[in-house]
Amino acid sequence: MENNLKMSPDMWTPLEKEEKDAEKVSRQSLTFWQDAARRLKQNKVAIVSLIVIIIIILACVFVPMFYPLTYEDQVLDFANIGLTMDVYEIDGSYFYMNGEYYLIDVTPDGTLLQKHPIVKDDAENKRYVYDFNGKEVIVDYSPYFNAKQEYIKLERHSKKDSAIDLTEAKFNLDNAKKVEIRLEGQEIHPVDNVRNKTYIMGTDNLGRDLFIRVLHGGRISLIVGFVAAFVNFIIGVLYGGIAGYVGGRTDNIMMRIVDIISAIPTLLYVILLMVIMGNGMMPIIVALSITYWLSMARIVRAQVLGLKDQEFVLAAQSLGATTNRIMFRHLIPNMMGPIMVSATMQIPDAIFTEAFLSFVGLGVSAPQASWGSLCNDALLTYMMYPYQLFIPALAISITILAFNLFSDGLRDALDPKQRK
Amino acid sequence: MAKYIVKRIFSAIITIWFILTLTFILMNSIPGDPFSHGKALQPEVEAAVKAKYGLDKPLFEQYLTYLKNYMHGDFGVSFKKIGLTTNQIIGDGFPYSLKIGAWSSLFVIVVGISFGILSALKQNKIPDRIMMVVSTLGSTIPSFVFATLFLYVFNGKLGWVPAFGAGTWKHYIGPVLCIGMFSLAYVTRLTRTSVLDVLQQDYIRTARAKGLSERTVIVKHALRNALIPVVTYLGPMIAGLITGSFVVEKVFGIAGIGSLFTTSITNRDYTLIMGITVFFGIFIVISTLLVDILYAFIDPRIKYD
Repeated sequence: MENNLKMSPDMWTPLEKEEKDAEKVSRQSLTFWQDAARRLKQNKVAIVSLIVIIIIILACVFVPMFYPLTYEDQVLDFANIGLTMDVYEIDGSYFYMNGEYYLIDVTPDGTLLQKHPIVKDDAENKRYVYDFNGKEVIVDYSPYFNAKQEYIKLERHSKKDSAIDLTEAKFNLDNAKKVEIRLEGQEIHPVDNVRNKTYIMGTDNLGRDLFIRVLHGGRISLIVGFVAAFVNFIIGVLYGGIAGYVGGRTDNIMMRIVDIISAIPTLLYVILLMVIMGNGMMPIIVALSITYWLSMARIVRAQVLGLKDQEFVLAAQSLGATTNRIMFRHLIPNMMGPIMVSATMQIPDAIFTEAFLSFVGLGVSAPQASWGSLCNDALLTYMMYPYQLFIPALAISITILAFNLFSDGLRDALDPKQRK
Repeated sequence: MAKYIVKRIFSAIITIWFILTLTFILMNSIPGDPFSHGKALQPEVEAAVKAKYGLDKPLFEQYLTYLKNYMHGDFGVSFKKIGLTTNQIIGDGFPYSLKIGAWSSLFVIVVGISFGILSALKQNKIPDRIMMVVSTLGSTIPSFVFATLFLYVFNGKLGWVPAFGAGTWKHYIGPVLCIGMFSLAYVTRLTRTSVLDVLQQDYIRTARAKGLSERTVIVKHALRNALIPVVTYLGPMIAGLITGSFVVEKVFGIAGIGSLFTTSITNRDYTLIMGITVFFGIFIVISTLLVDILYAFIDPRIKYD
């Protein structure tokens, strides 16, 4: 024993640098959120989705502020003009023919000028007569019209007489030229296909700019998504928190109520609420808020049940913290992970439901637009003007996809145990 | 077991009562009455009409009559389609929805489960990746977008299917696919996760260690257990598919119960809305109940409390 206490001078020499650092934690210590952020950053899909979401939000918020047109500006003469136009040229003046066979003056690069004044609307011969610098231009839509009439007539006869063969009439109809433009008797053809410079995504059936309407619709869809998710978050956290924390009979009754409500098909009640409250953005938000909080309440309750018996809650209780303080300062911050994941998953759900309701005709009322109502408006004419349907449809799909992929990534980052 | 079944039936009855009451309260909180729109009626006429429909009685008495009628399967008359009862209207529309829903369920079950299994067995290989992308898209694209896209391509561009109505089998391809799309994506994912989960269990290792063929291991040992969570989802799913997707029937112009519902909303035909809501609700509650009971038989491990 004595020997051990003897000190020799070599015990006092400093350690080598490597030996000194052997026990040091080489990595910076990370909090839970930093760790989650690091995991999220590694997930490329989630980051790309997040960027897409941010771009969509910024575009919907800021572009309508600076854009020269608003969602309700309409020019009826320019209705149903697509993203690109076939332009014709006569003596240096350019024009475009719309779906109703009217001619519209354009510049060579695709800016719309005005509807060309019509000289004679010759309904009898199915033609419009125009005048370009003294030359007569005839828009003749009779070939298809006649073929169609012929076909309808034959079809009616064929019901009585099975000997009549419809194939030829059908062939004629399918091959009939829809319309022919003649300049002094000579047929003319488009000289160019140019982008629509005035309306970059074309116009709807009332001549309103589709681009700005899609962005405006995006504002409404996103507001509905975020507000509904936020309200669900508040209700769900309070309800689930109280049920879980108080426990016992209160918990039992509260969760039975949740069970019963979740057994009824929610969508039906959203629809009923919309029928009662009328169209508009507020009714949608209210209807979604009072029906969609159930899953959040369940998650919060389960979390509270798991956490409330842990030592840190006991410590807070023995220090005399009030129930409120324990709830809001100790429990809720500790379950933010699952709550955030569930909240981000509710945003696309709400956008989805809003689009659905607007599509059924229960959404915002005109001239307001949302992505669902834009699709609904375009439904009748989607064969003629498919872009009117596909642009808002694409917007909905991309947004929902981005939110879904991002919330998947968020779940993996915040709650690695749940990863599938 | 018997106790569990009785308990489930009891809670289903409570839920149905809740649906009936909630619907009644909601429909009665609509401002005005069904006759307050359009032309003003003469006071005597209005009184007579109200007496005919029992609207002059106190609200609670109306509620009791309503409960009694609905329990006897009498869903009232339509306010807008004169002379038709809700029962007749539902009876006309339901067969279409039933047919589409049944085919759609079959499609989802067969394709979804096989995709899910295939995907799990080829985990992280190319078929799995492709199916996961497809199922992500399937759960992302709203059904009305999918339905119109389908019509645009297969009716407008290719002309393979008719656009409107429900005459031949070709009419049904689109609706069946579009209604089933979302569930298909979900069932594929659910099966995949569940099979992957089961394949890591000890008894699978035991089965392999015994030297059983891979086929026997998968079919006899893995699948039986893996499909249990899928079966739970199938109940509500089939009910949902059969009661018809509102928008898909609207797009394809099929006079099923879903499009009836949307037109009754547009027409503000309140009794019809009420009747169809309750019909939907009860249908879904009962089919969930049946699946829950069936589930107790399929999976003896289930806790009955």
